[in-house]
Amino acid sequence: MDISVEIGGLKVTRNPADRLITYSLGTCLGVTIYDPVAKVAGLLHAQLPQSSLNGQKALLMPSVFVDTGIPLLFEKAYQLGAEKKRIILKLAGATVKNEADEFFKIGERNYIMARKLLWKNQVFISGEDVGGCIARTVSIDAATGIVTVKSGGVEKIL
Amino acid sequence: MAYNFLIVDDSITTRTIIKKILQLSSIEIGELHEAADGEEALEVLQNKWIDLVFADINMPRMNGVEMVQRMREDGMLKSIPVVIVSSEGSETRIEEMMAKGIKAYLRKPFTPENIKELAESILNLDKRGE
Amino acid sequence: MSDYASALEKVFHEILSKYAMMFGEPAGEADFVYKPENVYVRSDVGFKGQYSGTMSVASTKGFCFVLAANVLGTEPEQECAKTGSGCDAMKEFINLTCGHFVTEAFGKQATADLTPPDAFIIGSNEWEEAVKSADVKFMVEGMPVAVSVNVEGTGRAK
Repeated sequence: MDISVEIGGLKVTRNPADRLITYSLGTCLGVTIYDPVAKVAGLLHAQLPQSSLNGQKALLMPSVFVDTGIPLLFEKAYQLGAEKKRIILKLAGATVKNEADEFFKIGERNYIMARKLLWKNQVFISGEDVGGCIARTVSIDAATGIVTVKSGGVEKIL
Repeated sequence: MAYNFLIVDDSITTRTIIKKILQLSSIEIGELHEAADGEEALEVLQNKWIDLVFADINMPRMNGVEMVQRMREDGMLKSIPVVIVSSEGSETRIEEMMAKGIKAYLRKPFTPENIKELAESILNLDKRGE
Repeated sequence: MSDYASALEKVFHEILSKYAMMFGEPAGEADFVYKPENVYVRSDVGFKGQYSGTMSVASTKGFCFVLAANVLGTEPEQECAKTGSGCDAMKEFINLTCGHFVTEAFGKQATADLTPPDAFIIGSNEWEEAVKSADVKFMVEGMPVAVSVNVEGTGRAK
């Protein structure tokens, strides 16, 4: 069944019947992870790059921020049996060209924060569909790990 | 099978980054050699078995263009694959290097995935779990 | 602002985000006032070919350390222990900025050989001179960064 991940939220599953999905990723960053052996899938919909922007909120909702959301996503997947060495990670979203983002570059900052964090923690990015100006819907199938990105009526496998 | 690499760059930072990426990849690493310029690189190449070279262009003493040229003139070294990793974006320079038989031209700044995927594809390795 | 200064600004932001995983913020004059508690560093590089000139980046040693830590995926303290300073990362930063500047300012066909970059500690007079002659000035994670370019035959960039 489809499990929706809200803005600033995250979900993990090892039920092969599940598909995690998040809608309307604009400047937000979608992060999917998959362990093909443990068949654990996870999806994060992070809004902002850095938890230091709002420490109070970061404590209550760490998944709102890229720098606290990604470690939490891994942690939740580990609890279901995933292992770091097997994890396949993909990124989507982080649009950069809408008017509101021109000055703050939130989309670009979200993406760069993810890159910085993943490089420091020695995780490769196996696929990405980022930038541009069209909102994306991202889903990950728990049985196969297939990540699908839909934008502007076009669907593709990442 | 394990592979031996040579990383040629006058920046120790860049050499360290490339080494780290290769060590994190699924490629089985035999030896990782480093050189700070073309002359040092040719010395390593004369004495060690190298499977793949990553080399910068702008370096003191001997630059990457001359290093590749010297490798092509040497019967023992001419078939060793070379990837040029440089900040230069001149199409003229890229064409010149491709004509000298380099395997790929990667412009700095690169991502870890750029280096990993290039090494895997040149060495004909299957991607792990992807 | 001439074409060269805008090209420099564009390239500076591009390399800062893609290579150093940092962002430049607008700065005020006060941010660039010499502070005795800071150690200041300048890095120079030259380019020779169809177009020739020099480029300089000046900042604090703290910037060099953060830069090195980001690109190496380590903590600033670890980086200090490893190489003794972040000067090498600063040299590579200016090498990349200059390489991209040549293409941005003079076109994709333009070739120029870059001279090996240099980096050294500067005193208050040299810092003030670097700030005065800068074409691009930004605060990067709370640290001042001043960049200038000279193209032979055309005078200063601005």
